[in-house]
Amino acid sequence: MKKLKITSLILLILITSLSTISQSHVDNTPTNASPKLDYNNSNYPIFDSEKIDELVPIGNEMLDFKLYDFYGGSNPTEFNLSRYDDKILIFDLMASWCGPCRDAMPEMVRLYELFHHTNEVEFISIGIDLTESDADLDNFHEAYDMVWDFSRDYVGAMGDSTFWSNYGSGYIPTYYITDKNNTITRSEIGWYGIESYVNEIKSLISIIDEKSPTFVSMTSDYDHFSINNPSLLIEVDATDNFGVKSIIGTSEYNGIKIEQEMPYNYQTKKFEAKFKYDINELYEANGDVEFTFQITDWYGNTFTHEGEKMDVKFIPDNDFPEIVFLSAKEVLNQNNLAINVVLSVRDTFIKNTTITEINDLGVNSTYFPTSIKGGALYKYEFNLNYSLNTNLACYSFFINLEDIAGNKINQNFDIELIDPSQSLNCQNSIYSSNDISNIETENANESETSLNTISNSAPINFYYVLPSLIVFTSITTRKKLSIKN
Amino acid sequence: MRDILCFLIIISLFVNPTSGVSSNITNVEYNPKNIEQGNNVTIIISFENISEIKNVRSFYCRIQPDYLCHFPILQLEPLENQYITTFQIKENSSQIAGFNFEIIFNNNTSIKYPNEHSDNFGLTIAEPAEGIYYYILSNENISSQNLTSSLYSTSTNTTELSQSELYFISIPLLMIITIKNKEYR
Repeated sequence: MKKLKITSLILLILITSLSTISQSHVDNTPTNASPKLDYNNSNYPIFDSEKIDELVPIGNEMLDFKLYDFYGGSNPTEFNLSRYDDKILIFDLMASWCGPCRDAMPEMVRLYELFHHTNEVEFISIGIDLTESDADLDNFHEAYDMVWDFSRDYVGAMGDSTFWSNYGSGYIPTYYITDKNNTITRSEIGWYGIESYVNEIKSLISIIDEKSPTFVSMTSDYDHFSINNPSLLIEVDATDNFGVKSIIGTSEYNGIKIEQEMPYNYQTKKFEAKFKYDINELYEANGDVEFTFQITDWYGNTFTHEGEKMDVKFIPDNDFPEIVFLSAKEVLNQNNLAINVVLSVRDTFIKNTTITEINDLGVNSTYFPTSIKGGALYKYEFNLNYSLNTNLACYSFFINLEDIAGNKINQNFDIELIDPSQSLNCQNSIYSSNDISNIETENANESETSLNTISNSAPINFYYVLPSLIVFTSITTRKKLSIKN
Repeated sequence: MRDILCFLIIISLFVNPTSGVSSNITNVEYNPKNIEQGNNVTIIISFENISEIKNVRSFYCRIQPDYLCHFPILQLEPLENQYITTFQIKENSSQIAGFNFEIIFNNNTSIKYPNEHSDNFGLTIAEPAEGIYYYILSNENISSQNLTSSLYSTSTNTTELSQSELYFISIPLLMIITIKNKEYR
């Protein structure tokens, strides 16, 4: 009874917590309570399908504006265009709910980092939607670490739609760039990548970068190479007085070169790439991986950093190979009978496989079967040949498996040929024919000779049995309860 | 004890995780169903009642190519138990447009639709930016298969169970099984 109470209590807590979790997507952000704003102001523009989308044309002089710093508290600082005298200005119109504005923001941050330190370039973002809350804008600002000027069109909210009339395009995000004389050099709806903006600013800025970039450091997630993780995640930090544009990394290990571009990670602010190695080459090698990085800055200056080494080691997984499935059927093979064997082995990486059979003439023969690998399972299929005149009761073969960790198994299988004329039986039989669940039905091409597979191997066809076992267990458990009742 | 469990079952039936946050939307639709550039499209959001709703704002965006949002936003007008707006489609036959909306309640909380928990009301949903979903405004020339891999379109079958709905169903079932098992003992 006490257990029942506890169960009920847990269920109740579960229900309550689920309800709470599902409510977590409600935004409990207060709407703006600033006394200056009037969202219902009839002068503020509403969506107009007929409006022809217009940007301020390139070559026009930037018109003055009046804005307030977003983080000015109850008495925000008013500013106008003169704040950016003799500066190249990049400004964008955005809103916190605007997906494309969000998409662009990491590259905007990078653009700022590339050029703001020159003291020639300034940035300003303007929240243009007066119906969204200050809290939403604040969250957006914080999420993207926007350290440049940030404002919203408070003046528009007070009934003066000049700013929107002058710069609004009918879409957001909208971007403008002006030169140091306040002439618009770029006006664009939507963000089409950082590169064109970098090129634009480069053409306006007075400084020309002739210095090559430099390598700073390389880090990696390396612990050891394993079968499940035969790769290295490499992060490179490099510096340049105007920022690094791209890095191409080359990894050389065991004579194999891998070259790939290392994209910029906007979160870590480093260049990174995963170098993945071929496991067939990897398992025999230990030693250094050597890296070369070709670093290019935004002005086309390049620097090649060589000789970065990492001592690596391959540590194989330590599981032994396990035979998980075996089937055998008799087939006609070039006027002889043969036993067609299908075998599945679980191991992360089998290095060597040999089959040794003792045929009806007493001859030992050894060969190396091919396999198909799927995940950690290897499937082998091969024929054991014997003559029609055999008088054998048993047919034996050995399978020898070795994985790259050096784990070996050598397993013997005795296949009992059931023939009423034979009085002998397999001496080493462990399982009766009933133990083998996967003898396949013979078809028209196959001999009518019946066949049992006898094995001293461990569990066969385990995966087929498991779901049934679970269902069976649950049924029997339930039945037991019924009986008790 | 059995009575207590039965009581809990009944309670759990009423604690549908989706109903706790529901803005009591009963339907979202737009007309006409197939849109073309220049068409006037009407978005209709139906509620059980709108007394707790302060405002509904809708955001109309071009999803692809060139993900952009139209501005100013669409303001919806209340009409009985519905919020409605009509606007003219600006996208041409090779472009895909979508809309989403935000319901602002009288207590200044808000909820955006569609979201990862919400019904799709038989409409196709896209997520062109992480966590920002849109109802796609259908264009016969562009089926949902044309949405790029950065987007996804959900089944238009509104009977498809969400994760929370599965919990909603499974919890009472779990409790019934528990009771029954106890009875056997």
